[in-house]
Amino acid sequence: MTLVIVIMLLVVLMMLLGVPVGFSFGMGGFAILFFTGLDPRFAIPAAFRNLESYTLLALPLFIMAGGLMRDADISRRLIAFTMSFLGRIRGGLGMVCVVSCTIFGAISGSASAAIAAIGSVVIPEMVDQGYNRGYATGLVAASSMLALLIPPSIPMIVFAMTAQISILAAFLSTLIPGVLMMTSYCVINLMMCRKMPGIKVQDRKGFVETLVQVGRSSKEAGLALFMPILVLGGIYGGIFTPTEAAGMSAVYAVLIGFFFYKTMTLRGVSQNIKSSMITSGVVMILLFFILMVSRILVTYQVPQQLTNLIFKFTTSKILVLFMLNIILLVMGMLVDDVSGNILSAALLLPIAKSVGIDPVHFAAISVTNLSLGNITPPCAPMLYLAGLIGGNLPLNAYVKPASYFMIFGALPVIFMVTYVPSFALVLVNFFLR
Amino acid sequence: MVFNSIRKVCSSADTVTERTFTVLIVIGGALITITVVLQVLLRYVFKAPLFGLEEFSRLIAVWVYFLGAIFGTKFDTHVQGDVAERFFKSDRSKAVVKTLTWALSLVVCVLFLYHATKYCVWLYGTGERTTGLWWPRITSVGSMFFGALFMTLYSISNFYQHLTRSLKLSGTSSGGDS
Repeated sequence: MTLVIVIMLLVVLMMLLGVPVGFSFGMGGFAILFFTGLDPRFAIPAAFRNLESYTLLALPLFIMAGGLMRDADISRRLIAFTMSFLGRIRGGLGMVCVVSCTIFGAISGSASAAIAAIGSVVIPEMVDQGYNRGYATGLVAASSMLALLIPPSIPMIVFAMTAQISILAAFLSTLIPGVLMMTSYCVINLMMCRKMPGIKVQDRKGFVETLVQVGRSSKEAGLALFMPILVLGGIYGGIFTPTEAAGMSAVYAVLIGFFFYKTMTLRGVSQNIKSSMITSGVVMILLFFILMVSRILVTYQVPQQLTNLIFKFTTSKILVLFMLNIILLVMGMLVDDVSGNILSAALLLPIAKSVGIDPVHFAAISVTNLSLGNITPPCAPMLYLAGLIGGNLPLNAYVKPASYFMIFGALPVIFMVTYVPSFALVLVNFFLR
Repeated sequence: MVFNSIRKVCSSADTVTERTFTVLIVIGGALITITVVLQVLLRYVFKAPLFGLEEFSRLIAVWVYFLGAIFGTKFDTHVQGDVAERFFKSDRSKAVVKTLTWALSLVVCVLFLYHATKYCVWLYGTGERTTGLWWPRITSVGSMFFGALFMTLYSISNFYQHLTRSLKLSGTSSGGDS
């Protein structure tokens, strides 16, 4: 156990140094094998077999579909669509940002894609309308969390794969928390916008004129808005498996990009396939090495020993959940959402199960906590990405507004997800059990 | 003179490899999508799903994953926490840290290549076949050896580039690290 702890500390040190996360875990795995004399032939084939899974194909296909939809220029249409409803409210554009990130999350399942697609359009627009650039950037960073909670979610696919639970159930577990978080962000935004006198508001229009604007924007964005219906309706209607839904959404994105929006070229599609497959490859090698390490750790009964260690301090379910909250938040600050979720499923799920937590409930706990960690410094990849998209802003310019959303919007939802199981499981129980 | 010739050969080989891999990864990505969607169409429209199509998709997918990982190594786009980069301000110290990270990455890639080769050789010897299409398992597992090999080669290249850069900066810089 001591050897494993020392090696895992070295893994963390390597990650902090900037060694790719997958390679850091690879080094840790090989080091354990070397010092313990274990046969690597049991760990490597097991990790490879996971990569061969048909279910896992959903991941590259969803990444590709998200990229294709971004290239099809749907973000502008989505923003125009939400603007037609919310544009005349003071702080409406901030709400447009939150809602657009949520809808884009339902299309791409990726926080970085949501920041790139929505942030690049909405931040300049918000600045033009009198919002502070730091505020707009902080809002986009905080809203990117929503893309991970609203299905389909790429980190959730990875968690479900590693934990061997139903992807459908895992998707449903964060749907209500995601919608509640979106609502709380909108309310916080409205409250904060009251203190910003420089914000411009669209002129009030007549009922007919508003109806025409809503109709026009709905027509423009309709095909893009149909995509979440196709994906989620197909999956929960029992028509497609998640992998097939991902494939259908990629083809759908190409079709609307070519024939309806006419924004796509063959070269663009091939570049998109290349970049999304590279992203998938990077995620898969990470998955490969972490699965290899987790296999070794399971052989060494590390999760059981961790559980015993925690039980020495407390056996209270509430306190164990609180400890898991802290561990996941810290983990989210250090590693990205995908690796965090693999580690969580491999190492922390056994602890959660030992105090009687439903694995699907734990999936919701894991994704919500890690997504908050992803926008909490020091690493905070999504926070820095938003800063980059917002015009290469220094961190102190947008971390304060982002923290308001994190503390008053995200944290209460995370506590509800953690301590009120039915909050995460109500849809799962209703549809699948 | 000899060193320059070696560099030119390596550079040309790199260009050819990158172009070939680009074509393969694009075709692979498209094939995965087409086969997955085709299976849905065959099931719902023609009421006759094709046996083995899913296995074919999975075979293409593992090759595409490792091609993606190779590109990730070449372009240094692997997922990483760049905390150290935020602490070091000067170009020289950043270059030294990068050299160190690529030295460690190279060690991992070499170990991965060693174990992947051993596993592939053993598997080839057993003659194991897939359960559906009855293809040799090595057609799938071989992707791991292929990926490990090229990841190692690109790690060597990245390590060398960062090493020469940090040596060059050490020669010109008069200090001032933070």
